[in-house]
Amino acid sequence: MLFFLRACFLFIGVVSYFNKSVIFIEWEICQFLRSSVVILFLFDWTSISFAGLVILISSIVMFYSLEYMSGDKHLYRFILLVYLFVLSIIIIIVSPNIIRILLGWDGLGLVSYCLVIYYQNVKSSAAGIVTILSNRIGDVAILLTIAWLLNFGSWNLFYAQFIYSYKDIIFVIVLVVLAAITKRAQMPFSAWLPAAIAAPTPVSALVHSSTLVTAGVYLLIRFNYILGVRNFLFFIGLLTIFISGLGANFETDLKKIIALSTLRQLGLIIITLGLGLYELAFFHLLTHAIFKSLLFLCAGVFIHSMGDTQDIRHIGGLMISCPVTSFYFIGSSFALCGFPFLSGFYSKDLILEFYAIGVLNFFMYVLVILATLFTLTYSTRLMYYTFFNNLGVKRFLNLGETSLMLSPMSVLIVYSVFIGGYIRIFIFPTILIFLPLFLKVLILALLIILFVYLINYMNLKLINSVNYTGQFVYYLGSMWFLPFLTTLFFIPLLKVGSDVIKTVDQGWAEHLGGQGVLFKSKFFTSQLDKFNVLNIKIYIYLFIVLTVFLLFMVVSYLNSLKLKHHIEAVRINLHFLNMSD
Amino acid sequence: MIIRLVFYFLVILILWSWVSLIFNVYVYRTLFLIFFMVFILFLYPGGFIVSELNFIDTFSITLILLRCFVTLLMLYSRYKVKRFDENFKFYYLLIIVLLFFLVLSFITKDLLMFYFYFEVSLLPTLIIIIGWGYQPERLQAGVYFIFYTLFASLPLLLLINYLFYEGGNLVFYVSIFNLMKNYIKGGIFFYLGVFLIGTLAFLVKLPIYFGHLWLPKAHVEAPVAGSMILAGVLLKLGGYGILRTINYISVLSIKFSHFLMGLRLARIIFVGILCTRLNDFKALVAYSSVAHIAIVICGLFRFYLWGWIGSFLIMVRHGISSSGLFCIVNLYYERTVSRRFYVNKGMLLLFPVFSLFLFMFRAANIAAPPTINLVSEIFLIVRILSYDKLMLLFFPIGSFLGAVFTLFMFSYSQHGAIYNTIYSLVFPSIREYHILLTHLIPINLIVLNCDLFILL
Repeated sequence: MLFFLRACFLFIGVVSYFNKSVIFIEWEICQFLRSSVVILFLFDWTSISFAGLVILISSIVMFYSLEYMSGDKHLYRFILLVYLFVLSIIIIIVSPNIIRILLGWDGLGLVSYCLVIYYQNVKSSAAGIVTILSNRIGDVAILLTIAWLLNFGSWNLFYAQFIYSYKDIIFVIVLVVLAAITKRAQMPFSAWLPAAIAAPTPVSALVHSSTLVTAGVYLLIRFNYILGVRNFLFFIGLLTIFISGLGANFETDLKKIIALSTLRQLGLIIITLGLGLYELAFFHLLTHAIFKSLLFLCAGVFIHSMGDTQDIRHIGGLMISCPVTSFYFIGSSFALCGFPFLSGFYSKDLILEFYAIGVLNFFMYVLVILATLFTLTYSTRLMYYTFFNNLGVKRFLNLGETSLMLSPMSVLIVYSVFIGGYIRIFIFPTILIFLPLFLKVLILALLIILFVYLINYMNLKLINSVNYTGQFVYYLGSMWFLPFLTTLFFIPLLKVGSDVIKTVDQGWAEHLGGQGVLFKSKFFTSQLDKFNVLNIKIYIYLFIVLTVFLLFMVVSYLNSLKLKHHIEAVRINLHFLNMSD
Repeated sequence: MIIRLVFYFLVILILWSWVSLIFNVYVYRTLFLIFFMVFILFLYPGGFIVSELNFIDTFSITLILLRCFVTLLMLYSRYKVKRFDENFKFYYLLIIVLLFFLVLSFITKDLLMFYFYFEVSLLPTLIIIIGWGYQPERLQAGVYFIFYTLFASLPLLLLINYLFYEGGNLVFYVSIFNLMKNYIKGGIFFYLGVFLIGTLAFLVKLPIYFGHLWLPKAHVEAPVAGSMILAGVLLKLGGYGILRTINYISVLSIKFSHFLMGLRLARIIFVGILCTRLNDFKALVAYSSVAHIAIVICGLFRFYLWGWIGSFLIMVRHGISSSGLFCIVNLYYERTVSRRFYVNKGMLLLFPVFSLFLFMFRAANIAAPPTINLVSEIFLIVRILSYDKLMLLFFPIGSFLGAVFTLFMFSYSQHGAIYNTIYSLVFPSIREYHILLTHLIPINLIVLNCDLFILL
């Protein structure tokens, strides 16, 4: 069903791009105090083609997971969750209304939590909590956006950007960008994306390629008219690509390397948005989604056939045992690196050339180039470990590849080879790029030189000599201690919580409330009770007290008689004074 | 109007058909309740009914319906009472009596009568708590419950007397004008006194921070029906009282509501932090209701329609969703005989459907979209942010912490190794699924008919 739908969607997307046609469907659900809650469906070429892509990938993942998850007892639950996941991303895609966006946004967060904790172990539970709490920040930001948009008369974000200037809705923009970068795992919030690989592999393929992480960028692409050229987006993206690209070079978990490379590509898209090139960003989003999901699906086959291990030091020699999957894996890896005439080449090369045209200082350009080269280094390293390396401990555990998993993947490989060229040649408008020959050839030459260098110098001795317990490697490999920094401020908060229970709820509130009153009343009644004891001393004591008290009474009565006359006199005087006024 | 009637009628019909299919035993009682509900619905034309003593408007009709709904579910939720014959006739009688007094308190027009029903409803609840609770601590919980509320609400009686002495009548919407001359005459202490006495009774009921100690105790020790009624309606009585008496305190509370706002927002954050360290399932749900009700008062004391509607919506949704949470906690309790997270672990493998329901209620509690909670949250966030720009800092923290502790609850109970001493378990019955599902339907479906609550 999904497979059929995506064909329709992609076709309509292409047609509507050429016709420039946009369909709006508006349905008002309720109205109060002149503010109406409207459900809006917006179908234009962006939303339809992206929805078609999402449905394509999810249908393929669904076919794939029927085989991959066939040993699982809760397959039915899994399939339902994935359906919900796809539903909520499509809700985000077709709605320009912020309340509808929240509907899909929160749905994505919750369902992704359910999927990440799908396996019952401590690691996936912790990863799920990190994932949903990072996403919750974005949810709260969107809630605040809803509240703030009331100042501007409409909850339809899509209109607001045409009406108001940048300075008017700066606060809304900050909130939307915050929401987008939490969902998109950009720099301060990027700890959850590598953690989220605890989910089953088909889910990772969905989450990391086309659904969860692209929700944020899709929002920003929708918001492009007002966003324009923003430097802070550029810096955030640059930081992310640099850190994640560096971290991927020191990682040994197969899925984590691919996750970090996702992070790197997402950073690239954010940089492109920061430069205001939203159409290019969308182009790269489409191509990246396809080859990244293919990479994850291949990784799933490897994990499946290698006795459920993910450590790349354990697997090896896959060239022989899984030839077709290896072919797919290498193909999509090359597409990721931007190998000429694969689909990654068209989008990525275009983006890099636009950087070269644009006004950038030298340092930034060097960083971008470095981060691009990191893609090549970690991809080559990954390929070396998995295919050429004979060290694998578990390579005799090979269970082979099954056709049920291969056939959906072979659809994706066709797409990941040809879609970039197809979009670039047939759909994308003609772009003129003027560059000196040096800059034009620079990236390609660097990539080729580095690749040859790496293949030559990758050998057994070098690999064994890498010390993974070294502090510097640990620092770089854990993304500059980001997972620890993320939780650094929250763990002490839990201590505060136990203090609050002890001192406030079971301490002062009880002392001033229930238990305190009980204690005091017990004390006073026991004091009163002492007078009931038949003791001669107490009687004498009482007698003395009573006598003194009575004496005081008499004396004060006598005094008051005198005072009374005095008061009378004063009152009469006052009366006269008032009269005189 | 017609849409609303048809909507309600359909919901009731569906409920009725399930109920009659599944439980032939209880058909007659259910019949009584449902006909009562339908009767009230057909009486209600959408505006304002006034008779000699009573009147009905949107607030009261919705709370009465909520009340009937929760009572219906209460009767089924503790089937054990009937099955082992734990004096069940008296138990059901108490529930019906409580229903009677609460319905009266929602439709009365007179402040004194409202006070009377308000206090009388304590008695059946007290008997339910100390009669059918689980542990010896229930006696202390009952004492806390009675004395915290009575201590706050007895001065209100004096104030009512004073109002009658000054004004000559106690009808809700009339009595404001009579006090105006005294406001001008009396100083700041007069203001403060009337404000404190007039609101404290309802604030402790809601409950206010530092006056909330009775709530976790009563919730933890009460049987499931007691918890459900406490969460479902009794807490809402406080909010309803403030909505009604806001006329004679509004002049004062503009002066003093800022303190309340501060206290409320501090409470959201404090309770949020506190909840992450509780290890008692039921206490966690009780404390979370303390945190959620906190923003009700923020909405009420802003004196805007948005805030009132929002807090009213929150009262309704909290009544259903936290009652559902108590229900599901009780289902776990009946099986593992413990409320600790150390024992209730790994429930995802044992009861996957319960886990689904717990997740849905949890999602409702953190205001996830398809539920009515989101609508109320949007109303209130608008109102609270309009108070001050600094609220941009506090409200997100509160909202985030709410997510943290509900997530903590879900994660700790559904994950982990199954506790070793659990050898025999009773599998869920259709009755239990039915209770949970009937909790879940209104939360998720009322959104489609949201303008139901927006009339005023």
